[in-house]
Order: sequence, then structure tokens, then C-alpha cells
Amino acid sequence: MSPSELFTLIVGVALTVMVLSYILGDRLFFGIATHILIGVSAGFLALVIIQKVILPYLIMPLADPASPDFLLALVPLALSILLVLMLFRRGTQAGAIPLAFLGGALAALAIIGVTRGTLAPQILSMLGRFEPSQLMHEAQPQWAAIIEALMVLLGVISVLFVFHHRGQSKAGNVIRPVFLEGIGSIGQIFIGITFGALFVGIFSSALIALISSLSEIIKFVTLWF
Amino acid sequence: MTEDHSELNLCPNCSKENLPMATRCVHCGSDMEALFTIFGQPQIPEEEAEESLPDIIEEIRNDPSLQTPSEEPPSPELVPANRIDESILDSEQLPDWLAKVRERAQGEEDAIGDLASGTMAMDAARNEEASAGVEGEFNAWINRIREKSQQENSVRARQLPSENEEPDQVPEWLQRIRALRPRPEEDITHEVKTGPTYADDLPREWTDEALQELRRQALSEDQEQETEPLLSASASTEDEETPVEPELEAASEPVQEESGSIEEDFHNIPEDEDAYFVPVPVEDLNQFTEVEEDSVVGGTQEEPATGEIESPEQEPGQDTPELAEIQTEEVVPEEAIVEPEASENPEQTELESVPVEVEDETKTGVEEQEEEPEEEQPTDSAAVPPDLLLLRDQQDRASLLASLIEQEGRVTAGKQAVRKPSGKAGRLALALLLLIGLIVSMLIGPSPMPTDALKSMPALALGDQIQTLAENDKVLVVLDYQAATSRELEALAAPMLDKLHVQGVQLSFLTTQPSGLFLAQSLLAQAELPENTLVEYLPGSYLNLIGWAVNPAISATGDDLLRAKNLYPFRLVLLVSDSSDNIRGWLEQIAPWIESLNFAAITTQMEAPVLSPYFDSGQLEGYAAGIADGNIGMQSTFSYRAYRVGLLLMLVMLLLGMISKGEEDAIRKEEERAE
Repeated sequence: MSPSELFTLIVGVALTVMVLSYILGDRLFFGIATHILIGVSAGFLALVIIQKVILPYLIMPLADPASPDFLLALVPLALSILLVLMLFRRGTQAGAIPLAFLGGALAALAIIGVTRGTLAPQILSMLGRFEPSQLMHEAQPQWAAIIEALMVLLGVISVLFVFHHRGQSKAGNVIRPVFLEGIGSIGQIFIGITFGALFVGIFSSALIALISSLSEIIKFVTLWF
Repeated sequence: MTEDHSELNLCPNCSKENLPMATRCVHCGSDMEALFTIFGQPQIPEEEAEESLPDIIEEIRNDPSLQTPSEEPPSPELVPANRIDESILDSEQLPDWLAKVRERAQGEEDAIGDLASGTMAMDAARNEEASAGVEGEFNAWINRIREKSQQENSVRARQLPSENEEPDQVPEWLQRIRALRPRPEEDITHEVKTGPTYADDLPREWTDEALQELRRQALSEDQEQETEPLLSASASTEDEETPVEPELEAASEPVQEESGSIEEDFHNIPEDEDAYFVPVPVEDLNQFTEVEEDSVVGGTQEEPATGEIESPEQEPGQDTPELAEIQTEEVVPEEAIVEPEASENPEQTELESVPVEVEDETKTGVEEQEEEPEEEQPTDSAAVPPDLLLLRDQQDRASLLASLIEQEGRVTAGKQAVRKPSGKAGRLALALLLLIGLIVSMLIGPSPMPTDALKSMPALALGDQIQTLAENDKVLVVLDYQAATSRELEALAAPMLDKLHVQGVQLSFLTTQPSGLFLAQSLLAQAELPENTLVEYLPGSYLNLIGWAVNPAISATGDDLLRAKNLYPFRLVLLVSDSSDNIRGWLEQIAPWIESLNFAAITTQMEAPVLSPYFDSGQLEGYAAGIADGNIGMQSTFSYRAYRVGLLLMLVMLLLGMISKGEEDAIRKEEERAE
């Protein structure tokens, strides 16, 4: 093991132990480790942005006025200056311009993307499960496919009714029809199953990370014995 | 009254002016009885006038309607008030002034007045309605009160002799309670005083001052004539009535009649009380005197109340406990007159010793017995000696004090600071248990994952997709993960990258995370790719590639991104990401623009369920997630046994948490139900 690897291993073990000290209620070492992580990440991010964004996309085109990218680089320059003006009280309104541009563009992209990339394909996928070719095979019904399609349909509809809050408002509470309440309850079951699967995934991922870290610590300890 | 004051009498001794109702000169103190006149009443000779006051006292004393019940035969049936009034009106022994007042009141058409007539009509209608159904309940309720009053009388009969014999040995606490004893009658007296007793056209001399003066004179003369009964008043309980009775009876009969009528007609109806104390028109007040006289029963009922209140104030030197006892005894004959119909047998005459407020409750209870049975609760206090009667707030304070004394020295659960468990100890125990389990399982030895473990359908689809790639096909690998998930993702991605590299596929690497620049080095090393493989940083993630997808000719940096200047040459985009949102963003923003481009993903176990619908819809050719889809279980540094132990411990913790949470909820619900 090279000295650099040993140093890296020691630092890694120390930081891991500092983070694990949070289990014992310690905030000092956990805070130190957290601050180290944030500081190093911020510094590294700043260097990456300067090197990979600001210099190639802004400074270099502006350095050559004859290039066609010069005029294009003026637009981000102007927006960046307006954004910097938000640091001052009188420039707050001016700084809202690039933010409004950014927010509007992202909203438009999100709407279009969700519609084209999620809603339409998912609806088509659900409907495609009820195609005769999917449900029948050699003139025999595919009960598994039929049940699966029905379950998918039931899950989609019931989950949608979970978030359906229209109803008669009485004394501050929205009273919905009985059948809507029943369908919503079924939807809650589907949502619960989904959350359970997500939780298992989260725990599994965390457990893999923990085992990996513990393996590194055990490896480090076994070096000295 | 001001115009009457203009007619002043001259003192025969000092010839100075005095008020017309003055019987003694305010300047020299000489007697002015000869000049004492009553408006509306003819002058009588001096001898007759001198005899009138004792006669009045004697007549009142001999009035059968004002006699004690012991002197009267008990009447089994309820005697209507009208009959009593008629008997009184027909009595020839009435004083002349009273007869004059009644005669004048009867002579006027609207003598009763709208208010009084309306009240009487309302009472008549109420009596008719309630007489049928309430009579039975009323009789039963009255019987209960009588029993309580009998018990009270028996208790008092045992207490009175000792008190009379040794009045000075009354306990201090009892004296204080007697001093603080509630006197609801006092309010009644004030109400009578504040009420518009006399109208302008009534004889002016019958004001309160005149009546007080008349009362004092009557007392002085009565004391002169009846010295022996006064001296022997404290000798026996029966004779206690004698000294007080003339005082009470002489204490302005009109006032007593007023209070009696109020007590009978209005007291139990708060609204009527309020309406009653509203200034009444003059013409109605003229007729009100007749109503007062008609309700002699109520007037006599109010007598002890007035006596109880005013006597201590006017004669502070009087012995208070004795007077209280005497006043209580005086209630007996008065209430026997009030409700002679209630005394169906001689024993029930003891009912009359019930305090006045109890009688008020009786009337109230008759009307509200069906509505609120709890209103009968004050009648329970009739069993308590009247000296110990307390106001409700006093009773509340006393009960609070008793509870405080009872709880003194105790540590009650409600006053303890409820310390909620912070949960630190539990978390620490669970964490230590998990750590110990993992460490022990890893120290036992290496435990590689079984090679025959089944992969998921998306992982198999991803493998098939990779198999279809030919040499020189371009694959864009997007690295979008953090250091925390690098171990899991690298274990999944490295074998695939190695396989692609072996197949001769051209790989282009982009990273949307700054940390991906150095995390990629570890991945490239595990995949045994060349060290000079370029990994480019893509600011703005997939949004930066929309332009490439829409118009691949646009390239900001030219040669630096030559390998990825547009997305059309690529056959597959392999997303190595720990965020399903980023993967979905690629599918939403980039995939719709380029139909020929296929997408696959390598992600963590926790993001796999979110990607499942996109795999079902065909937007994702496949994805690999978790330990089962990769070769992490094959690595020597990874203990599969520890992984299984960790899952088992977490399962146990979840079950324990569910059980404890259910128990906690049940306890909380039980506590809420108990509260």
C-alpha cells in the first residue's frame, strides 16, 4: 500500500467514524465531518464551474470579438450582470429578469416534457395492456395478462382518486361520496405498497454503503494486526 | 314629593316648620302627633289618632291571616289566594288607612295596571296548563321537601336549647359562617326598595321614611305596653316570635305586601323581574297597591326575609346567632300562611321551617322540574341547618380548599412534568445492535453472493440490449451519482462497461455532477478502461442537451465535445444515476426528440420502483438496480452475509416498531377516552 493510499484510507476511516458518532448523539465530530464535506464540495464545484463553464462559455467567446460566439456570449453576460445586481437593494428588480427567464423556460420545458415523456407514454402503455393480442394467445385468454392489466387499471384509477378532493364541504371537512372514499382507500393501499418498496430500496442502498464503509474500516484495522 | 313638601307643619312648641309626615319636631323634639295627617284620610280627633297606632298594631297582630300556623287549624286543601284576600278585605278590623287605600284602588278602573294584569293573566294561563300534569309531580316533590324540612327541624330542635343556654359558646367558625351566610332576601329587599313603590297620586306620607317613623313609634309604644313579653322573649323558643313579630309586622306592611307580591308573581321569572323593575307608569302603580294587598300571602312570606336583613344592619349590637335562629323560627308561621294547602297533616307544619330560599326553589322547581332535574339540587341543602347555608361560590371554594388539603403532601400524577422519552437510548441500542451484527457477520469470513441468483426482468432486458450492440456502435454513458451511492452503482456499471468495451463499442462519458469527474476514475479503473478516457462535465444536465437533440449542428465548444456534439450518432444512452428524477428528465426532455435513440439505466435499489412504469411503457430498454442485478455480491470486499443480516435486523426492527407503535396508539386512545 502506497503512502497516498494509506493516507487516503486513514482520512476515510476517520471521517467515517466521525459521521457514525452521530449515532451516539455526538454533534461535534459529525458537524466537523459535515462541514468538511460541504467545504470541499463547494470549493471543488467552484473550480469546476470556473474551468468548465465560465471560461469556455463566457470568457473565451468574449475574448475574441470577431468570432460568431461573441454576440451569443453577450446574452449570458447581460443576464449574469443582472443577477449580480440582486446583491444590492436597488438591483433586486433587475435581478428578477434572469430569474423570470429561467423560471419560465424551465416551466415550459417541464410541462412539455411531462406531457410528451410521461403522461402520453404511460396512458398508451396502460391502454396497450388491453389489446387483444396481449390478452389472447392462440384463442386462449391469458388470465395472468388480464389480471395484470386490470390491476394496473385499478391502481391508476384508485391512486388518482386518492388525490381527488372535490366534495361537499361541511364544517371545514370535505365530505366525499362513499364510492369515492372506497376507491380512494384502495388507492392508498397501492401507494402504501409503493412507499414500502421505496423504503426497502433506501434501506438496501444504505446498507450496501454501510457494509462497504465497514469493510474499509475492517481492512484498515487488519493492517495493524 | 316636592309639592307635598310645600305643605309644612308648624311645631306647636317652637313654631318652626316640619315635614307634614313628621311626628316629632326636628328642631325641639316635641311631639307633633296632633299635626300628623294622612292625605286622602279625614282628620280624626286627637284621642282617636293617638289610639290608632296601637290599634293598628293590635289589629295586625290579631289578623288571622298573619297568625302562626300553630294557632290556625291546618287546611288540607289549597286555599286560593283570592279567598284569603277577600277574607282580609272583608275584615272590619282593618285600619282605616288601609281600607282607604284599598277602596281607592278598587274604585279606579285600571287600578291593576297593564303590567300586573298581564302578569296575572300569564300566571292564570300557566296554572291552567300546568295544573293537570304537574300537580302529581308537584305533590311528590313537595313531600320530599317536607321530609327534608322535618329532618332539619329535628336537628335544629336538638341544637337550639344548647345555643339558647350558652350563646357565647358558639364556635368561632360557626359565627364566621353565620356572618358570611348568604342572604338572598337582602336582594329582594333592595329590589323592593328600588322598585317604584308609590305613584305620584298616592298619599305622599306613605314613603319609606314615613313608614320607618311609623314603625319606630309603634315599636316604642308597643314596648311600653308589652314589656313583659319582650323581656321574656329569650326564655323560650316559642316566645321568640313575640319580640320580633311586632317589629316585623310593623315594618311597613305595604312594603311587605309588595315584596310578597313580587316573590309570588315575579321572583321565579327573571325576565319578569327585569320587567318589573323597569319604571312603571304612574297609573299602573296606583293599581299595584291592590295587587299587593291581594297577595298578602306573599307579603307575609317576605316578612322574615326583611327582618333578617334589616335587623342586623339597624341594630348591630344584636346577637347575630340568636337573631338568626329567631328569624328562622319566624319563617314557620309565615310560610304556613303562604301555603297552607301544603300542610296535609300536623307534621307537615314543620315544613314551614324551610328557609325562604328553599321555598323559592320550590316555586322554581315546580315550573322547571321537568326541564332540569338538577335544579332540585339546592333543595338538598334544606337538610343542612340554615346557619350553614353557603353561597354556591363559597361552596366551590370550600370544596377546592378541601381538595387541596386532601392532596397536600401527595404527588399527583397530573402535576408531574410529563417527560417524553427522547428516543436517544432506543436509537443507540438499535444502531449498536445493527453495527455489532454487521461487524460480526463480516468478521466470520467472506460470503460471496450465489452465482445462480436470478436477475430482474429489466436487468435481463438490459443485458439483451447490450448483446445487440455491434462493434463501433456509439454509446453515451452519463454518470450522475454521488459518492454515497458510488459503491453500489459502480458494482453494477463496471461489468457492463467492461463488456461493452470488449465488444468494441465506442463509449463517450458525460457527467452532470462535479463529483462525477473524480468518481468516474474509480469506475473506469474497475471497468478496466483506458486511463485516458475522457469524462466531460455537462453543466445543466439534460437541459444542456436539448439543443443537441433539437439541432445537433449547434455546438458551443466545438472540438472539445466532438465525441458528443450531437445525440443522433448514438444508439444507446446508458444512464448511471442514483436519481430517478434525472433519469425521468432524460426520458421526458431528450427521448421524445430522437425516436431512434434507446435509453437504459443503472440505478440504485431505492429508485427502481419509480423506473418500473417507464420500462413497462418501453421508454427504457432496461435497467439494472440493486445487489441482485450486479456483481457486487461477487466482490470479495462485499459480505453478502452481512447484507442478509442487516436485512433481517431491519425486518425485526420494523416489526417491533409496528407493535410498539400500535400499543402506544392504543394507550393514547385509552387515555383520551378516559379524559
